Amino acid sequence: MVAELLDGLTARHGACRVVAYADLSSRMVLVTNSAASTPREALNALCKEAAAALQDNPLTPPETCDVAITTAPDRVQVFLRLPTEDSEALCCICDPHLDLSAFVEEARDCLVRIAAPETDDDGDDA
Amino acid sequence: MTDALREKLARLARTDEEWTVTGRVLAAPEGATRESLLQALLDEIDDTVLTARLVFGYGGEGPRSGRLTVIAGGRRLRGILAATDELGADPDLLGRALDAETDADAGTVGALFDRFVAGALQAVAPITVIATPRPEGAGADLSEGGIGVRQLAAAWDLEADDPGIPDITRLLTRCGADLTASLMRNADGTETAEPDAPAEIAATLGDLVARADSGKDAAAPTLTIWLPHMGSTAPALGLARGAQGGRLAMAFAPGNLAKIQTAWVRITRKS
Repeated sequence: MVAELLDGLTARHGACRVVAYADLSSRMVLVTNSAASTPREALNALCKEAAAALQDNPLTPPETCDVAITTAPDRVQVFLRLPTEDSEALCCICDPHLDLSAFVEEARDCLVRIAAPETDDDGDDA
Repeated sequence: MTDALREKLARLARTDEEWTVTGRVLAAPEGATRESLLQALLDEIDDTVLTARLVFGYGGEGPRSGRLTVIAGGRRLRGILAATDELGADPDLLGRALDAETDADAGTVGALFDRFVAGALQAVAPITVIATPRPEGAGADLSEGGIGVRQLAAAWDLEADDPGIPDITRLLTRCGADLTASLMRNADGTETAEPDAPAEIAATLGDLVARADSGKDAAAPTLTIWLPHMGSTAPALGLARGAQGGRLAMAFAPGNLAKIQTAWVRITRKS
């Protein structure tokens, strides 16, 4: 299910090349989108960058921050975490011409859906 | 997939565009200046990688209207195809490839666009564009040469596109109106601060600039932006590290994210 949600995000935003669902507390990438061919070492480095950008942010209070974006000439990295659970995060690598506002909005929604407890057909927690 | 195709597809998928019956809105009249309108036209040319016919217009079919048809491609203005009478285009300029080797064409084209922008300001009308890819007929042969955006920016005295000016200064020039507060520390240590910034935000921006100087951030040029979660009233914060060594800390409404991001990408991308 998580992989499908990540694939859906990249399918709607062609400028997004990599989406990784990560656990920031352990600095581990758990799942990536299917098309991502990024080496494991690069994903781990991406996860560390996400932790630094989100946890060492200048907002007041720091818990207010749920998105950090770094832009270099050749790439945009978007890091998102849940306001209520700061260890689960999405780490994204995109091309600079990304439609950033729309992407952030959908990525936020994607992360919320990933973190939501799965329910069975009766609507109960699985 | 080539970069050109990827960029084109991304442009087609944009969701933040406003349209009128005369085309996609490039610049609204509210708060517009000569520089902001020329910058909008320049950005459209700079975004045009594949050859296209661009029809810039303002005022629709009303008495205060103007229309300028050009060929652009490869981020260059290839040629001028047509202009409505009130723009007073030199007939010798129309329908031929523009010459980048001399300043004469850049000057003549610059003056023509200046008259177009002056007309739009007088009409208090949005500037719109209709882009037609792979033009046929008139202008189909204008697929090479032309005047680059840097040369056009120089002809229009647009500081925001002068590569001799530091990245962060250009960003502030382009986006100053979209910021709640800013603090710029130039490479020589001099600072420019937004005088009316609330004390708490000013202190935060000061901390940001100081932190950048401590070398914690990635190699320049980079822009880092932090957004508050939905529902928060806190401003977004940004820190730009210029290739020339300066720093610009910014506070802004989260709704201005795309404007600031796009401006930085344009400033720092390699033509």
